[in-house]
Amino acid sequence: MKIRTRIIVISCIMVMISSVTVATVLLWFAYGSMSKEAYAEANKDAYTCFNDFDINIKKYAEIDDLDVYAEYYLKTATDRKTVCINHENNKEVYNSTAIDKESLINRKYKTDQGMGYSYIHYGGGEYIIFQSEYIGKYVLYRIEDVSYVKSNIYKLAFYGVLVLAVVLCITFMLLAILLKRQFIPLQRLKDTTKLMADGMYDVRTDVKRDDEVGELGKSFNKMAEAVEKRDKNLKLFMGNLTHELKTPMTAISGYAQTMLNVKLSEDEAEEALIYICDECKRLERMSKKLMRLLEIENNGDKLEFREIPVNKLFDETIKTCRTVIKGKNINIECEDDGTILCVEPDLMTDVLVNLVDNAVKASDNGGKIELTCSNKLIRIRDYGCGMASEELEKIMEPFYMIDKSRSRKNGGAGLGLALSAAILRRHNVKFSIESRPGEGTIVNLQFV
Amino acid sequence: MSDIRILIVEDEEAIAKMIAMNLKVANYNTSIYYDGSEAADALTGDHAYDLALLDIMLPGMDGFELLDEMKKYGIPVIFLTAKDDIESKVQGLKGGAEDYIVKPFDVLELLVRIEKVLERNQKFSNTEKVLDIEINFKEHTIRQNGHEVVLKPMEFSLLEVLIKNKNIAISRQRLLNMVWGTDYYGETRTVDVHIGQLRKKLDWGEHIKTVSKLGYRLEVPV
Repeated sequence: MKIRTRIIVISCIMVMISSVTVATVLLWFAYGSMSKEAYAEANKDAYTCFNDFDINIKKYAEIDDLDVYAEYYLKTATDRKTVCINHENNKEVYNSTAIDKESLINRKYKTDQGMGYSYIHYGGGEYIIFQSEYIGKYVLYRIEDVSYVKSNIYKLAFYGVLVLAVVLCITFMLLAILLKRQFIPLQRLKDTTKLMADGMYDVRTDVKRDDEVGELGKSFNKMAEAVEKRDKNLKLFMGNLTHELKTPMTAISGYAQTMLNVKLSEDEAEEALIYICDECKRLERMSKKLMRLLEIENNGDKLEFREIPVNKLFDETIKTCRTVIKGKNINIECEDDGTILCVEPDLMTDVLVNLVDNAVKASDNGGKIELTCSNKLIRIRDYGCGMASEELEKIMEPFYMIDKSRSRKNGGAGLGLALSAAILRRHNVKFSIESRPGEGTIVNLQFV
Repeated sequence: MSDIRILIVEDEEAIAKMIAMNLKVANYNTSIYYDGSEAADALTGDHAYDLALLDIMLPGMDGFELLDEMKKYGIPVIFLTAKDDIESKVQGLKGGAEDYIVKPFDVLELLVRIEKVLERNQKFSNTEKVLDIEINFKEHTIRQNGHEVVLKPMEFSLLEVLIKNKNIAISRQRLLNMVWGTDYYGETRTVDVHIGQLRKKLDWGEHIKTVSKLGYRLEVPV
């Protein structure tokens, strides 16, 4: 069942239960007060009747045939609701009702202000029988009809049910309309989710509300952004990878085909073979680096971290880089405050080698590079050509090369910085680059 | 060497040299540029090219921008690129390129496509001198030392394919497809028979070489 239907059904049931309870209580009180009122009225009526009879009978107390007079009086003076019984001879003097003498006498009566009373149900109606005290030798019974109390209550209850039905209908319709409006954003969110599941990562919801649904929409959009970014990075990576694979493949397959199909001179054939060899080596280098990158990304928790003084890392780095440094006659200045870092030494050296190598590439012949460490901050600074800000954004992408043809000739695959960034991520190192064209570049590695 | 000039703009030296090597063998003149903007600059001086082979991702100026430069001088363009997404293909072809070839490519296919583009743009002359014959592709006639040589239609087509792919070995199956068409269910022996006829009629026994395990190659001194 839909949440909307469920809420509507539950609310309707609640409304029904509460209204029925309230109505029942109200009816109960109404019934109580109405019966009391009816009783009081009946009581008054009976009292008046008995009193009048008493006065009249006392006037004629001396006559012999008092029974006849009593009958005559009752027949003319009262409405037909009275029974008169001579209790001396147990004779029914007057009975205008359908109830017989015996059942009247044998009833049990409660007493109230000198009168007995008793409720009786007869023929679907409700009546109160009042019994007088002895008036001379007579006892009077008066039967008062109070059925109207119940029928009034039933009428009220009937109206109540009608009102309840109307209220329920209105509640149902209002809820249906209001909830539908409330659920529109959820429906939209659902549609958007479906689109996203189908691979459209650029969709966003436009749910703008200050409630939980709005928050859900916001976090959905955040999630969508993360997914899209990841997807974009992956696509970019795959695109770059295939491109980088295709280039050597094209050369290798092209030269092989040429050698097969064309009669080449010896020099040309040798040239072709050298190109094939070079491109094969390039593929090999690339696959090695790629494997390394995947390894670091996937098995980062298996790295063995060790405490090592930073100057050891620097020494190792400079040792590895000395040919390129000498080749460009670079003056490299090292300085450290004896910090001890907890790192995977080989990987961290790789990072430093890559960064120093980049710095050397950016520097002019005879330039200066500073390699410093203080307060767990390693800084590599060169005074070379620098980079524009739009290049800064791209250099972290796998396979990005600032000078493609030259980097490739130097054996680069464009994976160096991506690899370094992956290693640094594993070390929880904050990595930032500041650069200005023509002024040089500063790379900061902030260790935690 | 014919006077057809082809411009190659490709930042990968290995690939550019490989294409040039094959084009030279197929008797075309080539110029190579490794940088897009350098190529564009060079065009302002010399733009007498019959065809340009362009990479898309180039330093300096990308292939799509270069395409506009080429259009200025009426040079037909074939894109030769690793980008094989539909968007790039559509952009390239709608932008006015004659063809779009995705790397890695088949060298023979590249040559055939180049030839088709040149044909469409009427860059070939109707007649060509090869060794001791003069062939007229339009009139389907061959003159050898002033005498007309009569060839059957299929023999002529086979000779045409060999001449247009001089110095390149072509397999029997491929020749069968190129001359008789892909829906021809003949045997490769048909090719051997027709080659035999050509060798006999033109006395080209030594020029049309049998390349073992591969097929035939018309060898012409470059």
